[in-house]
Amino acid sequence: MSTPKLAPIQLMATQPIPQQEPLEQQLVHLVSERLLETQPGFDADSNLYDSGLDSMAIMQLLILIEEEYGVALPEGELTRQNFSTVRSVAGLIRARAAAPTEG
Amino acid sequence: MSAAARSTVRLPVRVTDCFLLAHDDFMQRTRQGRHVTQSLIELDRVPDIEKVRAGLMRLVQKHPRLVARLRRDWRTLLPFWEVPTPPARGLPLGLWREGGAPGSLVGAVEIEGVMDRLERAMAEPLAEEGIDFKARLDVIELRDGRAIVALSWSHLLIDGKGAELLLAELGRLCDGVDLPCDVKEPPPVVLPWNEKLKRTKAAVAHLENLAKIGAPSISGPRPRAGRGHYWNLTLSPEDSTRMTQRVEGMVGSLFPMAFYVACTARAHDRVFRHRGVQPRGYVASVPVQTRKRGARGPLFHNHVSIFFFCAQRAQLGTIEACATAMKQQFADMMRARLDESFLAVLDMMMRLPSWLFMRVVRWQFKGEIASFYHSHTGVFAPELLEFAGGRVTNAYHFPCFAVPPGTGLFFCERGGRVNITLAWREGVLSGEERRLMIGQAMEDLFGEPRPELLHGL
Repeated sequence: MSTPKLAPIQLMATQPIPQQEPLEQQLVHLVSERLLETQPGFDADSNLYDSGLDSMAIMQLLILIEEEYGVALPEGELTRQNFSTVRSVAGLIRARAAAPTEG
Repeated sequence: MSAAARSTVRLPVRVTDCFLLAHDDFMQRTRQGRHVTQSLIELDRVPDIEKVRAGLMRLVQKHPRLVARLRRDWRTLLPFWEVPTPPARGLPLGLWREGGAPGSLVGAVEIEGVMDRLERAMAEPLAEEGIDFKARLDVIELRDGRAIVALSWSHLLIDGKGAELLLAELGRLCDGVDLPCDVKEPPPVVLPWNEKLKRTKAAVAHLENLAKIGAPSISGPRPRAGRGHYWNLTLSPEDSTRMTQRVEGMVGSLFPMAFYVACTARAHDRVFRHRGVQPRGYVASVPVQTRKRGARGPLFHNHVSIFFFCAQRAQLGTIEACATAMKQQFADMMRARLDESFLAVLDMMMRLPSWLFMRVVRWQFKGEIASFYHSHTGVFAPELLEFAGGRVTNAYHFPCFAVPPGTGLFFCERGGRVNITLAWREGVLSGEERRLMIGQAMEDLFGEPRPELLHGL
């Protein structure tokens, strides 16, 4: 079976990740404000699934990551483990942003 | 009636409520009953009925919308809820006992069949003693001493997620625990008309493309009188794990929805092929939540939009091909913000009288609404562990809808077990066709035929 693509496979022109606050902190704000009704104390290590992350929210998060950071996460990285915390998502973004541009 | 009893509060309806209002009106006009869905929990024992009665009383006092009446403002043309002072009684409660049950449920009436009783509860009027109840509760003592608690609710007032929250709220109130249980509804986004119109374009273009394929349903486009029927299967923990692993192997662990849509499309296609028909494709209507994830509310109103998936003939050959296509469509629809766009379309239609609203809905697909309904609602009320002294051992929904399309396949989970519910309207599916449909679904879910799981069809 061929692996379906969720986003255009070409790596978008990687934008420098804004450094005024740690990526993890930016993502915590993004998730809290736009995706999940998080509880007080929610941080980069909180379990996203316990906070209500589901298929719709993951897809929204992928699109937000593309829009905010210009990073399209590849299909192979879309695992339950990789989306379990904000910290693990931040790791994916960093790794992808640092990867050489295809084509 | 005293002046205090006559005082009312006026509350607005939400965008999606107007679709449900039109649908409810359509069902009523075509002698299909009302749009009443059921949410069921199974208990390890009969609940404490005095606690249940007290809980139902507190529920109505705390949430008087449960006796509200829907009206239309003839100046704005918008429907609204007229919420009265709550009556001094609780929601209607039915007590029933399966033949041969131990008899722990005092005052219960003996019944022939459990499913027949549940279906009747959905088909009978919710109003009682002149009060416009929007829900009722039925408790059935089973032969083995366990019990089923069924909340039948009007889709005008709440949606499936709201029903789960309402059951959890009732469970707390039965135990005398009265906590703030709702979240403040986000204020509706008010856009100028030109912005609204712009926002509708993606959904309109999407629907126009789907109209070229068509949305053939098993029932056909003509409405048909009659009530709904249901079949539910709870998979064993082992089968649930096996099935989930297969789904994840095909579409990944993050987007199981795509697989279930594909499975439902192929199950329906099996019936069409049995009838010697091979349509160009099918349009699946899949509700998607618009509540913020993780929120405990809002409890009331319908907080859903719709994704219209399309399974075309070339994609229906294998479950792998179909699931892959549905996954790509899911990503495309999210990217195009079709959920928001579809809500904008509904927003533009809010002022239409129900009959005209429904005519617009059915116009696109030449009398059809969709080929079938489907949803995968995830884990059913995970916070609801006990109910009035009984341990919750399982939970699922019996969704209600009209002819057309007359059929739907639904999935949810509870305690690591998957529930599969087939719903069909009177006269739409024969017994043989139900077995063919579910047989195909099982083959796709497990990768091999599972005839032993087709009992009761």
